[in-house]
Amino acid sequence: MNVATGYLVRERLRFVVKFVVLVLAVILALELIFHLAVAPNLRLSRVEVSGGKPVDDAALLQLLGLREHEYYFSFTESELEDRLSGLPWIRSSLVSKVFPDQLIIHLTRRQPLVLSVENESVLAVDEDGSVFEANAGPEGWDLPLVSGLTFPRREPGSRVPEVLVPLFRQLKDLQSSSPSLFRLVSEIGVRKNDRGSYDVVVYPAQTQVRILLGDQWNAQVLQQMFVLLDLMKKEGWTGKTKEIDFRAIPVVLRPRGS
Amino acid sequence: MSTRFSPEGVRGEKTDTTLLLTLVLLVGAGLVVLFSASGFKGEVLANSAWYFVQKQVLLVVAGGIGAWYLSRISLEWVRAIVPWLLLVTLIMMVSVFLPIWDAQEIYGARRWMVKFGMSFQPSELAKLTVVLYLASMFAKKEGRLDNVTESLLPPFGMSFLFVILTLAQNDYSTAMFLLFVILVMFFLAGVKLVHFAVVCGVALLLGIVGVLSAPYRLERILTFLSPHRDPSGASFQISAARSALEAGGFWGVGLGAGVHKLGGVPEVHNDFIAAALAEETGFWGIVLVFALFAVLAWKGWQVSLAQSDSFARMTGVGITTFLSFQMLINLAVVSGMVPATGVTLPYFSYGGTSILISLLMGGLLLNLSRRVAA
Repeated sequence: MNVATGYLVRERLRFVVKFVVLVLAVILALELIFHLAVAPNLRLSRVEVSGGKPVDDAALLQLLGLREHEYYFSFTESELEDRLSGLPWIRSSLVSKVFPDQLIIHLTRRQPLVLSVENESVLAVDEDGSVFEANAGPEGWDLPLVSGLTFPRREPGSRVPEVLVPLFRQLKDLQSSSPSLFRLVSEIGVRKNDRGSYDVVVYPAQTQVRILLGDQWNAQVLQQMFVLLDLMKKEGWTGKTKEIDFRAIPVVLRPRGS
Repeated sequence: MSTRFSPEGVRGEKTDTTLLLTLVLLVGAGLVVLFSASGFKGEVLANSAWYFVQKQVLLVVAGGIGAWYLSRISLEWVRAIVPWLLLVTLIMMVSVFLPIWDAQEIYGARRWMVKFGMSFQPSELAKLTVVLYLASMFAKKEGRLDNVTESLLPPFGMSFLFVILTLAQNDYSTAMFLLFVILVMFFLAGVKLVHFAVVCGVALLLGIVGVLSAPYRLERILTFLSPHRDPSGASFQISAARSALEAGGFWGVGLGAGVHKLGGVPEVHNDFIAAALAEETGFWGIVLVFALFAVLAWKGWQVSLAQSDSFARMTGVGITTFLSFQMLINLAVVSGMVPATGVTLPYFSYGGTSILISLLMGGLLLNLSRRVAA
């Protein structure tokens, strides 16, 4: 055995091991100092909120239960997201903490689709059937009204009955695919039918003819409906017609006074 | 002089029981954690929660037989086949570029030999080959390592050739880890510090060129420096792993009860298996695994330094350094202390070639422990 070489290997290995242990010990010491002394004193100094909100940053922090210079480690991102999901006007949120003092909140607001008016109180309903405050600004008022909805409690944060949610999804599809058609709808009435489902009554703008639709309708049916209405207007029939029943083929026109 | 690494500490008559037990515990714990981490993905891919574990068990059995064999053969025989092993590995490393395999590129890299539904990663074998080759060369040139052209350049050139081939396979992390172990072996062999500094310089240059040659590698470094710059992209894996670590806390959520493995952490059954381990067993689980590797390192280095033959000594030191530093780097990646790399956790991560080579390395360490006993 070459004793000198063996000794050198041993000494260099000891150096490597000592070096690694020292590095790990320093990391551990720094971690401990950080967790025990530094982290408990870190506070938020910057909060960035994006995605639009109807309240200012201070009010939003209050809604979240955070103080102005909250301790950085006193809350978690998922806690804040849970709290935000409880606010009626928020559809979804993404919260991220950026070490050491920043909080970034991205909000996706609920977009009003239709308005529900009752006893002078106006509430908005979105595509998920969620009800929230209709204080979105002037553009929020250029929307169809919805009538005939029954809520256990009509207040922000409540939802329309589950059976009606597909109706709002279809309306959203219509708004996205044919915004001009959607704008021609003045009011949408919902009526429970004896099949355990519901019928939809559409009140188009600028005419007094109401249109009965079943529970299965789409943008195409609505398009056909408006084409027929236009034709009837040209022929001068709209004044004589009370309603158009689109629930079955052939379409039934009911005259006024019937 | 301390006697911690002295031969007297390992004298006995049989295989070192502590070393053997540590290896068995690591493999056993690895299978349990792998089952928990891969069950969901197995269900999704093959309709069986056992899918990955079954494949891993087969490889553990094969690797175990290989390790048992390696623990009993003469080390002189191992030394004699090193040139052949070098040649075979070199051919394999080059052959991945040939259009003869069933899959040419996987995840944008050419590092596998795929045939008949089985795959083999030659760069994993290269790890063992390079350790054995360097041990053989340093033993051959013992006492003459000051001679640069005769003693240092051949091992330097050959081992760097493997690094460059691994880089060419688009396997930067394995290449850099191989480079790191080569540097450690050069240092431990007793190379003059000035020569070692030159080797380090070349290695650093190679590392920088490797980073700059692929934009995604640079992205990984930038993501490491600023984890929030791309939360849904480059830093997603690290952020997800950190969430799993946080969820585990001190005691863990319980074996099998983790949720981050359900698609939350990419490659959770592979490079990031420590994230699943930390979530389910908490800080103490990680400490326990760390302790097992510490025992492996301690016993490995101890039996290596007790060898009277230079080849045996450098082989043991190289293998032990390899396994222990691979564990350290893997845990450092998962905890976000170093940039993300594709280094597996030995004995835990799913991966055929990796577990096979790790077991063979374990077998060689057991062989060394028997030589001490003899």
